[in-house]
Amino acid sequence: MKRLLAFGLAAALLLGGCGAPKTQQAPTQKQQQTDTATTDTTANQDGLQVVTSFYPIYILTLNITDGVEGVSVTNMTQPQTGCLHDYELTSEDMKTLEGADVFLINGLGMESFLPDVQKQYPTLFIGDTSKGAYVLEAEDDHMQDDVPNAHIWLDPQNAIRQTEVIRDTLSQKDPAHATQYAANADAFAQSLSGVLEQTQTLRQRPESNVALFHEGFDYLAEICNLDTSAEIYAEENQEPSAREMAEAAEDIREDRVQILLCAEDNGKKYADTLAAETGARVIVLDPLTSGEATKDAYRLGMEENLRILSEALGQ
Amino acid sequence: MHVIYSWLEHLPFTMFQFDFMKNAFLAILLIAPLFALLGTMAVNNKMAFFSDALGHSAFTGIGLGVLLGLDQPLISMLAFGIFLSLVITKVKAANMASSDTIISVFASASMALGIVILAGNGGFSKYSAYLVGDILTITTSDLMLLLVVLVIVYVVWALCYNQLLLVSINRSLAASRGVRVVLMENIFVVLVAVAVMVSIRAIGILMINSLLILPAAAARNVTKSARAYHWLTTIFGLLSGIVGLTVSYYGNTSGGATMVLAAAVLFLVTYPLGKRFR
Repeated sequence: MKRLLAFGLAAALLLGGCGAPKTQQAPTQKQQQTDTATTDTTANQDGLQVVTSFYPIYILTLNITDGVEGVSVTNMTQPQTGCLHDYELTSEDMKTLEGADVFLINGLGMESFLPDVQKQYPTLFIGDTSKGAYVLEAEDDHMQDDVPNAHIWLDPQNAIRQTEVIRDTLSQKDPAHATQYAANADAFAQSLSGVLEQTQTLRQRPESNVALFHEGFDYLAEICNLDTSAEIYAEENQEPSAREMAEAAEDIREDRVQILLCAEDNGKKYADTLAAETGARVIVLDPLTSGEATKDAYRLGMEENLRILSEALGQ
Repeated sequence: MHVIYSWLEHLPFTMFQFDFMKNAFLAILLIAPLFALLGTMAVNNKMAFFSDALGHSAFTGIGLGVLLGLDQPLISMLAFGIFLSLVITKVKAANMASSDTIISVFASASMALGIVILAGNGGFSKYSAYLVGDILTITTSDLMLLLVVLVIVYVVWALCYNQLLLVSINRSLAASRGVRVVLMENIFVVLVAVAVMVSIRAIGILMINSLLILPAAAARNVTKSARAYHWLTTIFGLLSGIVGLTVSYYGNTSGGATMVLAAAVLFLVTYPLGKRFR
C-alpha cells in the first residue's frame, strides 16, 4: 500500500512538473498566432487573450479568429495530449489561464478539472462549446446513468455548432470584431460542405454493422448510419475484462461485423485481438484529438476519416 | 498451436471457445513455472524488494523505448532491466549502505525517471495499460518469447542450481568451495530481470512482483525440502494463475489482480500451517 501511495505521489508531483516541455511548445504556438492573429505587439498586449482547453477546440477556434487583429489563441494542453480524460492540471496550465480573457472548453465533462479552475479563477469567462450540440449518450455500464458522450466534435454538424458558440462567445467579449467572427464562422461552415456531402453519400449505403474501440467513433457511426454491434473503450482507461471481450467477440460473430473501428491508442490492441478472434478487419481512424496546429486540420482529418471509412465499407 | 487450441476446446469451459482466452491460459502455463523457479530463489535470498524494484524500473524502460521511437518497448525494457539489476548488485556488494536502502534509491529513481519521460511526452494515462497489464491481448509471438525464456531459465537452473543455492545460503562458504559468487549472483539477477520484463505486458508493473513472490512464499510455509519447495511453488503459481483467470472470466474482474488475490489466499491459508513444518 505504501508503495502504491508513493507511486501515486510521485506521479502527481511529476505530472505537476511536466510543464517544462510546454515552454518549449510555446514558440510553435506563438508562430501559429503570428499568421492567424496580429503581428502588432502593442495591440496583442491589450488584445483578447483566448485560451482553449485542448486540441479540437483549439483548431475550431483558430478558424474563427483567422485574420482577426489583436486576438491571440493559446492551447492550454500540448497538441499531443489527446483526450483530456484524467488530465491533471500543471502549474504551467494555471499560468496560461491566469492571463486569459476567455477560456473555451469542449464541455460535457471532458474538462474534468473545470471545478478546480473555477475555484481558482472565479471571474474567468468560460465558453462551453457543447451548448446546442447534438449529444449522444455514453454507452458505459461502469458509470451511472445519463453520462454524455463528450466527443461531440466528431460530428461535423456539431463542429459547426461549436464554432457558432465560439463566435458568439468571442463577439460578446470583443464586439468590435463581431462581423469578422461571424464571417469566419460562415466560412468554416462552408468549408465543411464537402465533409457533409461525404457523410450523405455514406448514409445512402446499405446498413452495415461495426464494432467501436474509441468512444468518439460513436458519432462517426451515427452520422454514417452504421449499426454498432460491440463497443470496447480502452482509451478511457478502463481495460476490458475477459467477459467483456468474450461478449464483444460473440456480438461481432453474431452480427457478422466486418469492420472494427479503432484509433492508434490503447484500444487498437483489443481491436487486433478481436480481429484475430473473429476474422473482422481493423480500420484505424483519427479521433482528431491531436495533430498539426493548423486551422484546416479538422476538415482534412474528417475528410480522411470519411474517405477511409467509405473505402472500408465499399469492399 | 492448432493442436493445443483444439485440445483446449475439448475442456468443459466456455471460456476456451475464444482464442484470446486460450492464449491467456497458455501464457499462465508458461509464466507460472518460470516465476516459480526464480521466486523460490528470490524468497530464499530475501530479494522480494529487489524484484519489485525491477518491475517498477520498467517505467524507464518503456520511456526509453518511447524516446528512441521503438515500436515495441520490450528491447529497451530488457536492456534497462538487465543494466539496473547488475548495477544494484554491484552497488550492494560495495556495502556502503543497507541493501534495502540501495534498492529503494534505484527503484525510486528509475520509476521517477520513467514517469518524467512518459508524462512529459503528453499525458501519462495512455501508458496505464502497463500498470495492470493485459493478458487478454497476448499474441502467439509473445507466447513463443515466454517459452524461449522459460527454456533458458530451466537450462541455467539445471547447470547452476547447486552453485546458486550455495551462494544463497552463504556467500563465504560458496566462495571457499570455488563457486564464482559474483558471477552466480549476476546470472540470477539478469534472469529475474529478463523474466520480469517479458511478463510485464501480460501481468502489469503493479502485479508482477506479487506473482513472483507470493506462490514461493506460500510454498515455503508448508515445505521442508528444496525439491518439494520447487514443485509446490510451481503448483501454487499455476493454481493461482488458472483460478485467477477463470474467476476473472466468469466474475468479470481484472485478470492480473484476481491471480494475485488467489495467490494471496494461498499464502494466508498456508501461513498458519507453517508451524508444523518448522
